[in-house]
Amino acid sequence: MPSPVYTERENETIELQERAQHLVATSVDALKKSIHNHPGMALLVSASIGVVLAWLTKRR
Amino acid sequence: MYVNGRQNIDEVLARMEVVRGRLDRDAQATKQSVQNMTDWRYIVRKNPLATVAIAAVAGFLLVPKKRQPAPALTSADIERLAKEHTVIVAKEASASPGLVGTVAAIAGAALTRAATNFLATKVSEFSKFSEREEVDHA
Repeated sequence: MPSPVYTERENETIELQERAQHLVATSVDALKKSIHNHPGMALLVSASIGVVLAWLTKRR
Repeated sequence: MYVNGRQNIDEVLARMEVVRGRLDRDAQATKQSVQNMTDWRYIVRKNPLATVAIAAVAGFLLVPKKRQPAPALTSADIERLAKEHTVIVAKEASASPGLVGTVAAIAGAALTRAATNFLATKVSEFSKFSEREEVDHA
């Protein structure tokens, strides 16, 4: 039989995992919603991120 | 079942009316789908993460690589090479398509793919419509 401390740690880990999954799902939903509301801005911002990353990796 | 001439004519007219209504609906649906397929906002809303990723990759590819500066030759180097007769004028390698060429190639491929998908959809819709017509006539 596992010790009570071990069980408590395991439960905390599971709870943390669930919270992290929920956070990721919420963030992805929010991202999708903002892309849906502003498609042009989303494309512009992502293309800009690509350009900045390329500049940092290729030109420096 | 044929009962008399008048009833038969009425049945045919009613069926023609139904087919006309269905044609109108199909034409409207086709018009709507064509409008959707040509509207970039619809495509982005339908595939939000994929289109954003493609835009980021396109932005990444837009920036060219940094060119390496040619090694500087000193006058002593030139003199030595001239003495050794080892100066070779090599032809430059074939030019790459360049940024504009690459973008044009990507855009051309995407357009070709979109046109192919559109034609395939239309052909399948037309074949379905023909099958329905045959069933109605049967």
